[in-house]
Formats: sequence, C-alpha cells, structure tokens
Amino acid sequence: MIGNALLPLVSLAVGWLALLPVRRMVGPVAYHMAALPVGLMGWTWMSAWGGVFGLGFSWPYAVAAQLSFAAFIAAMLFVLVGRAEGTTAQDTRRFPAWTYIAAGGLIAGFGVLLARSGLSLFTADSWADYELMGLWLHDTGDLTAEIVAIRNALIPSFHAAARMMGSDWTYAIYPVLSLIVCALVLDEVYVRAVPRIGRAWAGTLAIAVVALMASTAPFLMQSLYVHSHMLSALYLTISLIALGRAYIPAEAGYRTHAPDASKARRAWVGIAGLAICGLILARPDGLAYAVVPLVLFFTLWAPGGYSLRPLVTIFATSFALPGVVFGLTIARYGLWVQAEKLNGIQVAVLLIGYALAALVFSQLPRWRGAAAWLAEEDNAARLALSGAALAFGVATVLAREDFGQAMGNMVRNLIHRGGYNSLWVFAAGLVVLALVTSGLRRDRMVRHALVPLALFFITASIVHGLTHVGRASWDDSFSRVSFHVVPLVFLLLGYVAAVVLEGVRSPRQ
Amino acid sequence: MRDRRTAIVTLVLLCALVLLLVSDLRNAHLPTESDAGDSPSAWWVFYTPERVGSDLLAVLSHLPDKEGWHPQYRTVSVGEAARRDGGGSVKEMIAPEQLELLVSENPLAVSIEPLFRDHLERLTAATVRYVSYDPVLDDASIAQWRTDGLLTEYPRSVVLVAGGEGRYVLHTDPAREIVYVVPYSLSPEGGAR
Repeated sequence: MIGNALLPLVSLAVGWLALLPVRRMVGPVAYHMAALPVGLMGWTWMSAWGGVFGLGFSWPYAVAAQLSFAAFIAAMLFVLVGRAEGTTAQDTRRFPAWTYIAAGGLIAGFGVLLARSGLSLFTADSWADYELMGLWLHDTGDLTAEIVAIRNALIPSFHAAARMMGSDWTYAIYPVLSLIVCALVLDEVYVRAVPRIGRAWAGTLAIAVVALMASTAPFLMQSLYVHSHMLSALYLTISLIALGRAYIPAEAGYRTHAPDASKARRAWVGIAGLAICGLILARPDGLAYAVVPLVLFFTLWAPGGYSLRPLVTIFATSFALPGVVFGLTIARYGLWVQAEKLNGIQVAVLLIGYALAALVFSQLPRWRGAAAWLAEEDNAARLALSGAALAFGVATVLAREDFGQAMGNMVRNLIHRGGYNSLWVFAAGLVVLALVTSGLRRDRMVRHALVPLALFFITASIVHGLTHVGRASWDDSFSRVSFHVVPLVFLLLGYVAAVVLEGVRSPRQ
Repeated sequence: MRDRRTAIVTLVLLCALVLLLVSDLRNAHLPTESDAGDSPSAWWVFYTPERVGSDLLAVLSHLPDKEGWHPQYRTVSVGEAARRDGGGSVKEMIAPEQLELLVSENPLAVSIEPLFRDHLERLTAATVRYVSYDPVLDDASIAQWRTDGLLTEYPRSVVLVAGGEGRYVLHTDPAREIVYVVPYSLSPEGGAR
C-alpha cells in the first residue's frame, strides 16, 4: 500500500521543484495543480537514463534522477521565461507557504484513502503491459524500444517507481489524476465565469459542472482504470487551459506576480508545453495527438503578434524530454521497424515534421501578406480546421474501405456501445447550440474550446481510420481515446453557461 | 450575449441538454455492486472495479476465464512466486527448452505453450535460460519438501519450493498438472544433481 500512497506525493514534490521559476507568474492554484503531472514525467527521465547507465530503480538513483530532472525543467523554464522580477514582501505573501501544506496534505490524504480502498479496474493492457513493463524497468532500468513502441515511456516508468516504493500493483495514482482533472475544470469554469456572473453564481456553476462530469459512468470508470486515458485527458486539459490563460487572460481569481505581461504569457505557454510533453509520452499515439494543442497554440499565437519567444518556449518545453527519451531509444536500438504500434521511423518522421513546423512558424512574419491575413481574428483557426479537414479527406481516400468501417464503429461506440450513455449526444447538442447562437459563437472562450474539440476528433479519426478499424465495444481503442476530451466538453459547458447566464441577468433590452 | 430573449431561449435549450445527461443517472448504481456489462444499453458496461489492493497476484483471480490467456496468468504466478522468494528479483531461472513438457509428455500434442515467454522475460529481468531437460519431479522429492514445510501454493496450479535465493528451475509433478518453482540447489537439474 505504501508505494501507492507515496508515488503521488513524491511526484508532487518533484513537480514543485521543477516549476519553481514560474510559480509566482501562474499563481498558487495553477502551480500546485500542474506540479504532480509534471513531476510524474521525472520517472520517464529516470528510466531513459537508466538504460544508458544500466541502473535499475533504486532510491539513491531515484533521488539523483529526480533532482536532475527538476533542475533540467527549472533551468529550461528559467531561460525561456525569465525571472519574476521585483519580488517584494507583499508578493511573497501572495504565495503563502500554507498552500504547499494544503496541496501536499490533500494529495497525501487522498492517496492514502485510495490506496486503503484497494479499488481498481483493469484489463489485459493494465497488468500484462503497464505493470509487467514497470516491473522490467524496476529490475533493469532498461527502457527498451519494445516498451516505447507498445506503451511509450511514461506509465511503465511510474509503475516501476511504485514498485520501488513497495507496491506490487499500481492503482491509486489514477483516481488522484481524476481529482486533479476535477480541480482544473472547477477552477477554470469559476475563473472564467466570475467576471460575467459574480462569485456566488460562478462558484455554483463550477461545482455543478464538475459534479455533472464526475457523475458520468465513463469518468468514474476512467478514474479507476489502470490505463493511459485519465492521464492523457489530464495533460490535454492542462495544455488547453494554460494556452487559454496565456492568450485570453482571466480577469479574476488570480493572485499572481508578473509585472511583465509577456513573461506571464510565456510562463503559461511553458506550462502548456510541459503538458504537451506529458501527452506525447503517455501513449504510443501521443505524438499524433500533440498536434491538437500545438495547432491551437498557432491559432492563438498568430493573432497574438508572432512573438518568437513563446514559439521557442512551447516547442522547447514540449519536445525536450521526448527528445531525450526517443533520442536515447533510437541511439540504443536504432530506428526500430518490427515493433507494433509506434516504430522508430514514425517517431523520427513526426519529430522532424514538428521541427519543420516550428521553423515555418518562425519564418511566418517574413511573409507579410500571409502574416497579416493570419493575424486577423479567426483566420488562423479557419486555416487550421480547413487543413485538418483536408487531411481527413485525404485519409478517407487512402483507406476508403477501412475508413468507412472504422467510422461506423466510432459512431456506434460514441452513441451506443461505448458506455457513454447520453454524453456524446449532449456534447453534440452543446456544440450545435454554440455554433448557431451568435452570442456564443463570438465568445473567445467558447471558440477556444470548440477548435481543439474539432481538431481532436479529426486527428483521432485519421489515426484510427488509417491504423485499425476497431470494434463496437467500450474497450475499442477509439472509444476509450474519446474520453481524452470529456473534460473539454464540460469546460465548454461551463463557458457556454456563463455567457448565457450573463445574458439572462443583463438588463432587459 | 446582449439580447436577453435569445439568452433565455438558449438557457432553456441548455437546460434540456443538461437534463438529458442527468437522466442517465436514473439507471446509475454502484459500479462495484453488479456487472451489467452484457447489455449494451446498461449504464455501466465496463468491467467491475475490484478490491485487489497492491497485489498483482490478487488481480489474476479477477481476470476473464479465457482458455488462451491461462498461460499468461500462470506465467505471472510463476514469476511472482520466484520474485517473492528471492527477495524481489530473480537472478536466474532455468526453464525447459520445450515448455510444453511442463504439461505433457508429448510436446506436439500441446497447442498453446503453457507459459508465456514474453512475460517470463519481463518477470525475471531476462535471466531466464532455456535448457533441454525432463522437468518431471519424482513423488518422493515432493513428499519430502512437503514434510519439510517448504511448499507454498500460488494461483493457477503453481507451487513454490522455498529457499531459492533468486535462482530457480521449473519442474512439474508426475501428472504434469502443477508447475513447481524449485530452488537451484534442490533441483535435479541444479545443485541436487
């Protein structure tokens, strides 16, 4: 039990250290919520280097690896974001020490409670892959190409850590992740709603939205399921919220210290990039899904003035750790080709593709006509969605028969067989409502949720349509992957409800 | 949203959508209480969460009873037995080159290998060595170990003979029904030869 209770707490502490340079700029709430997901990635750093040095998981190596990981991330953030200058005694009070005790106490208490409950939900992937790969990593420290190919590095690595801490079965971390997802949605809906409808209504709305999300069967299931889905949903949610905070600043709810607005923006972009890094390492198809937050960044960055530093920040924070993990794996095993799911050539092609995209983005301001057009509101988003739709069209032509079958299974799972009950019918209704009501369609936060939702489903359809047709069942891959945007659906509900309630409460016209 | 009338109509539609989602809860139940997964229209179609704690072996007892998967379950049981006896890791494990000999005199009559080689590699940190030998133990040795209190039963017809200190040889009983994880020093293939 101790390993299950200890894993979240140690990861939280590592995340605290790694995020120190930006803590005042993003404020205590965001800092503490992002700490554990960032700290979890430290175990990947440990297993990546463990293979090079031939070190299995042990406490002395864990301390050295986690401290070096925290220093690596902190140094990167320090260089890319800069210091929060002019810190005064008042600013120190704005980041009180008791928040550490509160966050640590909450994670420790929840971790112990969940570990004591002993409750988990599992399939063959859980025990045969995640747990046994974790066991292998624990014994040998050898992050093999097979592990990276089949499950990627992150989850087997923290399963190895839990085993090092005395657990034979890692499960309590998953409901802790779902608790953080709930906290993120609660905070985001509240913060965005306060300027519109006041604190009392915003608080009520935020609690109602989270209660609704947490009461759905798929959310409850994924909270206990030993798999990659709650983790991916968490990283995707953090990245989308942080990008929103960077380019559509919240007007309430924060006690932050960032005298320089561009530094605050880079701090949020840095958090978003680290979340994208987690998204990449959480699953073998993570590299494909990273396109969703990165394209969203592009749609915000272009109208935001083409500043080079946020561009460097997002790509550096997103790809530094995956660069180490994939780079070391390729250096040790070559461009592995025979393994299933993710092969070395795909990794190399995707990494080169993202590097080229960064290069093209950085050169955009030189092409004045195109840059001016993209900088106009919505044009970047229109271009991105059109490009995604075009890619979808090309994919359907490439695999016409499989694609049709895959689409059929996807729809069946979303509305009937996937265990979602009415969730996707509700989500579709919400999207239609947001699109047909001009007051909602024009709202920046509503658009901020709609664009990644569309991008995600187009990406997921391409990935699954081209690779496997799936089956009509809850444990179909696409059906489970769809869960990654469930928190985003409820964020959209929160944004829409805040706009509508503001309209209802406004003076009669 | 500046038009109050539009806002009210939108609010009504939004409430209707939320009611649709809330109406799912009419069929809700504690997921631990029943498994309604057979019906695609059930509220909970997923597997039932289980109280297994921090024990991988406890997970095995809740897995689907699929014949093709039994070798995988048994391999985890073999690996965990050796790991627990060896203080958390396996220094060396010797297994018959023809794993089928663990369950049949005639390897050609066995369609699925009784142990899953991939899992055996992961559980033993690739210290498993496949050697050509007849893995059958004699009844007298088993009886002696039982008398000495060395035998511990593990799930999926696996028995550990204690005292291996990380080095083991896989054997079976004369009926080839139980896999014995035998310390190297006690095995006819190891130190006891």
